[in-house]
Amino acid sequence: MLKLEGITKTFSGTGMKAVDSLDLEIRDGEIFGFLGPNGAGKTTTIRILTGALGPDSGRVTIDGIDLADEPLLAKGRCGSVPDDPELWNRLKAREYLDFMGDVYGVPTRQRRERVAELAGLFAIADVLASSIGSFSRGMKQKLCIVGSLLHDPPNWILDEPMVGLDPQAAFDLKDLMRRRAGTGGCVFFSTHVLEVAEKICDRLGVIAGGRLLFTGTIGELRTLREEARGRADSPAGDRERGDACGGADSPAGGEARGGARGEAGAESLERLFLDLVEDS
Amino acid sequence: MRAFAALLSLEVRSAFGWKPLVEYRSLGDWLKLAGAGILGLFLVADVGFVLVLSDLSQFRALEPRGLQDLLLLNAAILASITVFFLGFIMMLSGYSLSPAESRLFSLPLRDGELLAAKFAVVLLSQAVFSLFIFGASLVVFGVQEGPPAAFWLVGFLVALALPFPPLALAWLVVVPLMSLARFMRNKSAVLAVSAFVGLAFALAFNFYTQNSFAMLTDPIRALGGFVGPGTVVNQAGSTWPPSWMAWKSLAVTMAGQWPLGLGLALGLLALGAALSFLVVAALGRIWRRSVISFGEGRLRKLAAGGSELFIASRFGRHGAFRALFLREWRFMNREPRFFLNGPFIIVLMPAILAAGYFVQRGNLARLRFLFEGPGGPRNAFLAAAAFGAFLGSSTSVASTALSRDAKSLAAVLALPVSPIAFMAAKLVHALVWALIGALVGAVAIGLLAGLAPGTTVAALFVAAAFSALANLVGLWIDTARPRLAWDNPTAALKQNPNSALVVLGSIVALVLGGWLAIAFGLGIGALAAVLGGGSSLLFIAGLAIYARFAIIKIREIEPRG
Repeated sequence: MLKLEGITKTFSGTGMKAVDSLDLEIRDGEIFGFLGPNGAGKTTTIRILTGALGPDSGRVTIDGIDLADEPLLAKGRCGSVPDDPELWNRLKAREYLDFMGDVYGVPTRQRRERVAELAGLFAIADVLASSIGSFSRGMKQKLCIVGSLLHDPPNWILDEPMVGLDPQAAFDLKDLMRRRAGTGGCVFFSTHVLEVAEKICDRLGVIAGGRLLFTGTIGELRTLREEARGRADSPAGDRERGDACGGADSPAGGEARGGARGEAGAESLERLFLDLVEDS
Repeated sequence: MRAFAALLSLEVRSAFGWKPLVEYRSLGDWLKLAGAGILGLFLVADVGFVLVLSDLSQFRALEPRGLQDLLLLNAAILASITVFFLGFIMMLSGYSLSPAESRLFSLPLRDGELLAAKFAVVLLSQAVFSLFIFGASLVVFGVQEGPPAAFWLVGFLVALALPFPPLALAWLVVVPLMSLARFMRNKSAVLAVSAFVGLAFALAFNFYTQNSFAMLTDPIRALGGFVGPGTVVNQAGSTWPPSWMAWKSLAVTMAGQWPLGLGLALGLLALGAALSFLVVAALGRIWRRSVISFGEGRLRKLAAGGSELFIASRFGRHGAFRALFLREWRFMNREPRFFLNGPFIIVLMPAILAAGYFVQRGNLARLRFLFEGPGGPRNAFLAAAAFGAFLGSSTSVASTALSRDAKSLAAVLALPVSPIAFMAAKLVHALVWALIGALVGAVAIGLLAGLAPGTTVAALFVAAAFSALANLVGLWIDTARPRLAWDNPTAALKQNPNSALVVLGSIVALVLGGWLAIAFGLGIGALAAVLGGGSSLLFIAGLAIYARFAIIKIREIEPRG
């Protein structure tokens, strides 16, 4: 279980508040999708959650262990996939995986079994002797995914894991996420691919401007948006919106709202996400 | 033409990383700029001083024979050789495309225009060397001879024109070479070749300059060089006509025929421009094809069924600290831009000095008196310890340890690794190179000066202890102020002020230590105890304080990217 309580982070160089009073809890057996536009604070949140970045205030606990008090113990219960897989180009794939295994203290037998299983699953077993620099981006991403699971962590944190993956690998990754959540693991991932989030997430979090706008299921998000739209469609709401958009009768405004209303029965996550972020 | 101007501006700005003055906002920014300016002035003054001294001694050697204008011929040759080799290395090491650059090929620009923009970047970089080398000789000659005003104009035009022909020639070599040699389409191979070409050039340059001095100081050899069909002028003229044109244009101007001199200088400029244009026009297409194919990945696949055996035999558990140390070692020493600008100094410096010794062994033999007599062994001991300490403390491994890791910090800090283990792996890596440097330096001078084995070991102890301390200080500085924002790996190492600070600081400390040792008249044993023991004690004490400092600073780090 991953828990963030009152997390705030302002970068020292820019003075920009990247994350503001963020509270989040990801339960065991759950796949949690973390959505947000570019620069919303997703990667900063993930870095704080993995212990790569210290927050100004707030508390992170991993399976009840305080990350600030027991960083090595807490980090040992997580596996993380960074957003940039281009970091290890000077190593060979075998060296990278052995490095990860050594750092997480994975015994030889378990290490060999896990490498054979996961490298086989992601079809990179035959290139383990190669330099990572000769890999495509997708292969590097697969290698990072394999490395993050060598120690079979109860918590799995992934930053944009689908980027660069071929359809088969993306399918396998989603399947692996489901299997890990199915056996009681906790999966937290950020993504821009809303279809993926819609299909596999048990719950979602939407962040924009460093503030968490929503957490819950897609059904709850839909209800929330319908309620918000209902308020906006009231005469007072129409007046407000009309003022903001330069007139309710403008063709663009009318079409956009008409389209969204027409899909209200089975509104896509994309529409809901865009509305939510726009309103924020 | 407007598109080419925009391309040129983009290439130049991205190559040199120039920041507009309006972006310097804080006091820190201005202080950094001022510091860089002072360092630049120091370097210009330092190199300028050496060049002027060298030119003056050449002038004085040539003047009695009335051949002093040959100083300008020598300068033109030196400038051309320097520009050719440095340009060649720059072309090789820049022979790849970043993702952003590769998008330029989809823009409506001609191949020749793209190559011309690259040519211009190399030209701007190398013109500085040409101006500096040729300009120093021009000034020395001008001040000594009091030439007519036209001399300065012709000299300026010649200095501007000199870099064009050697750079055109260098492109003429580099582009076909990269097109034909498949193994060269690999960044590591190219950088390794560049390093060896650089090393060869440094040695050849050293050999040429030392040999010139040796020739000028020997009247018989000097006369042989300037009389008869095999004179220096004839050889230069037939081997590299632009250097002859440069010399001739100034020589005739001095003789009062300034229109002819001006014509020759303009001719040289036109020749350079024409050669450059021809090379760019002819090679643009070949260059585009070869540069696009550069860095093609070559994936080594295991044979069918081989992966099971590979996994079963090659994977195994080791300690976390070993893993961290190996990561450090592989990250630095497999990245040519890190290795060549860092630990390679342990090979480069002794090689340059050995070349100098080989050429000047006659003159240097006269210095043997320093190592003879009652104070001789002590002087030899100090020289061995100082050279070992210099090599051990100049590798820049520790002083750039965190800066080099900027891109992977977020990933590494997420691992269950303590800050102490993380930084200790970096320090141990630096100390391994420090020990190698100290060993090479102390033993080389020890052998050269005929030191007794025991004294060499004592010198090695001092060198290793000082190097260890210097590396700890370097690590400390880089932990306090790491350079985390960079795009080019060279910026994390060679252009890192932390590295310059430690190298220059070590030199100052070594000079000061040597002076104190001589001033107090200490013997070898006492020197080893004071310098080696003192450095060791400071290292141990510093280590304990640094550990606490590192824990705090690593927690405060904000990974970029």
